[in-house]
Amino acid sequence: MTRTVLAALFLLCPPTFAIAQDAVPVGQQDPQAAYDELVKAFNKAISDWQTEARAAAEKARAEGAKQLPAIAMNPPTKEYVAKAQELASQYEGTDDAVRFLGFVLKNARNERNAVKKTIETLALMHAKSNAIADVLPFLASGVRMGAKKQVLDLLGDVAENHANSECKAQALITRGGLMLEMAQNDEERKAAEKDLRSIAAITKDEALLAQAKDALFEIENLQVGCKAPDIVGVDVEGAAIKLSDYQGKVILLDFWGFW
Amino acid sequence: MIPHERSLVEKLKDKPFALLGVNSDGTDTTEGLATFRSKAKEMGVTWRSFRDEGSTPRISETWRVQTWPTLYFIDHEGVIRHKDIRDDAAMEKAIDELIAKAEAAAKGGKPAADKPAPEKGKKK
Repeated sequence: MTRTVLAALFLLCPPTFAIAQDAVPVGQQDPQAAYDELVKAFNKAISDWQTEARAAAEKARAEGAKQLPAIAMNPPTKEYVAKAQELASQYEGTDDAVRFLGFVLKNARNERNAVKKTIETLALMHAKSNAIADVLPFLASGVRMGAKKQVLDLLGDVAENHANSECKAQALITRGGLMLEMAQNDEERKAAEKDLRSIAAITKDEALLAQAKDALFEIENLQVGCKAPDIVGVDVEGAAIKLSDYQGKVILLDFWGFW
Repeated sequence: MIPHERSLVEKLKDKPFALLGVNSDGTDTTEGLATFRSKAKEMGVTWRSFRDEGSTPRISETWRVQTWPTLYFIDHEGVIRHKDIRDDAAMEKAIDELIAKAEAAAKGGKPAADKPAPEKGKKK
């Protein structure tokens, strides 16, 4: 189910690339140029794939198929993930490598081994670098691909031992968010909450603080047993609608789309 | 999903129950709305949905939805009682239990903490 949904989302949302541009050229090729080239080629491949996958999905739907066609589940990530790994080893040990490793984490869909290896490399060679802050948010893919322990170990290392407080804060917010997502009980939610609350004391970064606030909103308002926050908006046709209009009834609130 | 939901809405139409969507098909654009309408007609979607797009932040962002579909089961007092029960039978059982409580409260069997909300006859 989740995999279907992720693939479907991928279909909807062309990837965007927001990794910091702070490279210093080393060696024979300018890493910035190599990165830009990789991203450009990848975006083109994804865009072509989206067109093809959408058409296939429409066709399948018209034919009454219940499942998305195979192509919709398989974005062409393999080749580009491999290329990013190659470039990462070319710039091994430098902050430029971190950027290519981030590309792997962000864009891998089915490449488990690449993701695991990337996390190992980050833990081994880049856990003290300031550049790591930019790629920590993409570690979620590692959890999805069965490297939960390695992800939490790396985040723990950065959260406890990094010299830079923004990097620490980024590690804490990523770990808190992931733990909240995976939490099965109150105790696990409490652990996530502790991470998220600890951020205020170590950073003034507004984006990080806002992220923490959103995650804490989930803990305080969106758990079983919480009073559902009201939703005030418009319906698909543009008419005003509030969740509280329906108080007194049992509500099944379904976040959905046809896609 | 949709066929089961359609039958649920039909089966529970005289009960204190509402299926409400938060739809992320981009109905804030003319084309998005046209596509939505034609698919809704084709699939028999009769229930109302909030429009997810067009507000900042989006409803799905505020509710921190990470996978679609995400389901919240809310009781007659507005309290979240379950999340993400996806199995058809388990979903119906949970809803039936919540409806039974809502009906008991409406009959005054058990005084609710909040005042019982007025029934809105026209809502689907």
